[in-house]
Amino acid sequence: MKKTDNLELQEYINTPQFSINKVEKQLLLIHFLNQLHRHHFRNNEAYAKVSSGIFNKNENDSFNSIEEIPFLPVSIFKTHYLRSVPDEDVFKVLTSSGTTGTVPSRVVLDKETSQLQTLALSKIITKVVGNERLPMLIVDSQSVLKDRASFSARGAGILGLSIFGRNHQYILDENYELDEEKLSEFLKKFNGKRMLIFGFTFMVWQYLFLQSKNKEIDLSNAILIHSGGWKKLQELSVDNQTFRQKLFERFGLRQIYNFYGMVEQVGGVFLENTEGYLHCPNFSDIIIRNPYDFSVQPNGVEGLIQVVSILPKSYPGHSLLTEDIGVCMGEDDSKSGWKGKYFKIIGRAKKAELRGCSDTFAQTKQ
Amino acid sequence: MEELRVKLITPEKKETEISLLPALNEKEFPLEVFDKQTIAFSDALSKTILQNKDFNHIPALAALAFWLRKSNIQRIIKENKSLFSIPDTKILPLGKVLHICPSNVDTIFVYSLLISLLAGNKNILRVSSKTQPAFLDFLFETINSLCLQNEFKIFFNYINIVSYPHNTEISAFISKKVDSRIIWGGDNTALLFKSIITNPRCRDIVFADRISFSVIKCSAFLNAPSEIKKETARKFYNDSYTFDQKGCSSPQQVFFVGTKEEYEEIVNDFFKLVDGFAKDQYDYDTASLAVMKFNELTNDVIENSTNKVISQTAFTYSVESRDIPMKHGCGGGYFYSVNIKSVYSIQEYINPKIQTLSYFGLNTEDIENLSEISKGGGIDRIVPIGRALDFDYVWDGYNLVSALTKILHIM
Repeated sequence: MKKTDNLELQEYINTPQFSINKVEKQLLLIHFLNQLHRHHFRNNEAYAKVSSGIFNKNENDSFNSIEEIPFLPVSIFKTHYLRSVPDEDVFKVLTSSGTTGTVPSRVVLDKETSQLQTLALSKIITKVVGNERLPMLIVDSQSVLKDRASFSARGAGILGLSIFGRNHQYILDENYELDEEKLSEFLKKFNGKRMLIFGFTFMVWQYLFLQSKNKEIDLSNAILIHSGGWKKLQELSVDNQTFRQKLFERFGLRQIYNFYGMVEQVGGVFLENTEGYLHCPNFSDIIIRNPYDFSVQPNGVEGLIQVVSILPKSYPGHSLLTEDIGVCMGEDDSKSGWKGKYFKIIGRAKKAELRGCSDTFAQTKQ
Repeated sequence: MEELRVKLITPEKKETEISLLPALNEKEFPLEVFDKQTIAFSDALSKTILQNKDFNHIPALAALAFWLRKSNIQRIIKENKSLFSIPDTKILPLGKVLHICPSNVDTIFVYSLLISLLAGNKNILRVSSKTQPAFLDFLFETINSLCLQNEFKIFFNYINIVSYPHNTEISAFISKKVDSRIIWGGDNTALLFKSIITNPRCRDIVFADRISFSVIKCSAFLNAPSEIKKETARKFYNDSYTFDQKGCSSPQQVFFVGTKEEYEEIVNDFFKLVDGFAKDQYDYDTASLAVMKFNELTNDVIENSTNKVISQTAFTYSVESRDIPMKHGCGGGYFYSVNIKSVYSIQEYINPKIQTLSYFGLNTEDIENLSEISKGGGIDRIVPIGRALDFDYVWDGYNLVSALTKILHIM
């Protein structure tokens, strides 16, 4: 893609978030996605094979709607190292280990895509945090950043958000135990003031809510951004509503934003709106697909979530079928006033465990 | 030495020291080959299964009960009459047999056990300690209660079903004491047990990883009335999906024999019919299947195994592939298809891993040609579509009855 394309893209990312209506957004997204399709088709053999072999689309095909864009399965980055830029342009490789015992995803970033990612994230975050850097409490341990050679998804999330804060304080020690002293130290200065809190959903619940003994914590002016999914909290029967209510009762915390995204797609950042639904920003979108035949589901009907983003240039991640199941609740008509599609996550497709005769003894090794 | 303990399931439930297993200790072999008591035991087991309303509707159990019936056992005896026809010989039980049972094709252990019992052998069966379907417990209970009956008391020493977590010491202890081991469960299990030292005369009967396929003659399918087409698709569905397409005799690939035009005319219809049955009857989470198969398809496309998709629904994926050797897909209804001009072309795909060929529309001459290309290598079974899973004493190239008996020469 040409330099001017990048300028055009930056300009689009810079437009105020959640401001563009359906018709306009479709035109703009498809314009960038057509460019990305051609770019990846030309520069990435795997993408070209999938486009032509599965979707019957060629290099010069252009699309009229985002639903027509070919998609890759999100797990492809576990099995294949995919890049659409020359090796010498590779700036960093993001990895995510997901659940223990699984192969990590590898996501290749060049300078340009990495800068766009930072820009996009800042547009989303400043929308709810504002432009001022706030004192920042991180519900994690600094150890998670130690292995700088390969960024874990959690580390990358923390680093990505750290630039929106100051006076950063990690409240878990190197053994991932709550450090009450550090928490009190931070609160001595900032209790009741405007501050930013970031952490994984489960860790916020486990450490900040359940474990901390401090009764004086006042977070009525704080903004909490949390992500990582609900699986562990579902086991404790804690849903989003309970989570929000309990944090409000205990700390006076009202500004709570869940955040859905994955290391495999830069720009695919979905922040919770005031209605409690995840909301698509200007530069990315979701499509809910019927798991039976991948046809597009109408609003209100659940299916597999496809995520689309106009940022990934260094690797073919602009259109991915996730393993998450969700429902699109509507578009442009959110009570929060934000434009764009909004949705909720129902869960994740279970890993298929099929039976068979070649499965007796060797696999049960302890 | 620390005690080697196992969980005994049959003939009674208790923890026991491995050296105390009755099958390893009793020196007497009162049962003959094809003993009347064994036939009666098999028939009684069959009746109990058929009478149980909770379980008799499960296809795998119904098939098992049918196989265990007295009349079917008598067929097996009749078919093996020639074993007894060698002059100056007697056919006798081989001795003690260890069965390493597959954890997931849940009824195989009963077939394995009964064939060995018919041969007059004492048996130790190792079953997986993983969670199992409810009907397995029912089978164990049934065998246990039969063994308590006066007329079947003799089987108390003949059937020891045990369960233990992976433990080479226990496996080695039993392996040294038995005269034969029947090892189900694929390459890894086979190699693991082959690395364990046995008595030098121990006969290993090994069921390694196999791969199976179907052959459909396009002209025969084209000319068949629509109910036959549907019936063929239903049988193909049963062969494929009953064990999640992971059974060693479930087809992975389908060869369509005919011209390109004939092939193109039927291939979509065939998989559409299969998908109809799968959609109605295959009880599996749609999103999980969709994710698993789309991942497999993407990998196949990137690795050049295919560049053409014939069917793509969560329940039935079919892609064209000319890969040699043919691939084992992800299972759950993921088929490779290929158009060939004549059955001879199958020769290129044959290797020792090939087990079952299930067919529709082949004539005697085709089958003669296929048996010709089975010499020295793969293809151990040629059966009509719908019978791929029919287990019998002839399996994987063995006659299990003769493999589990010995010949006494008397001059």
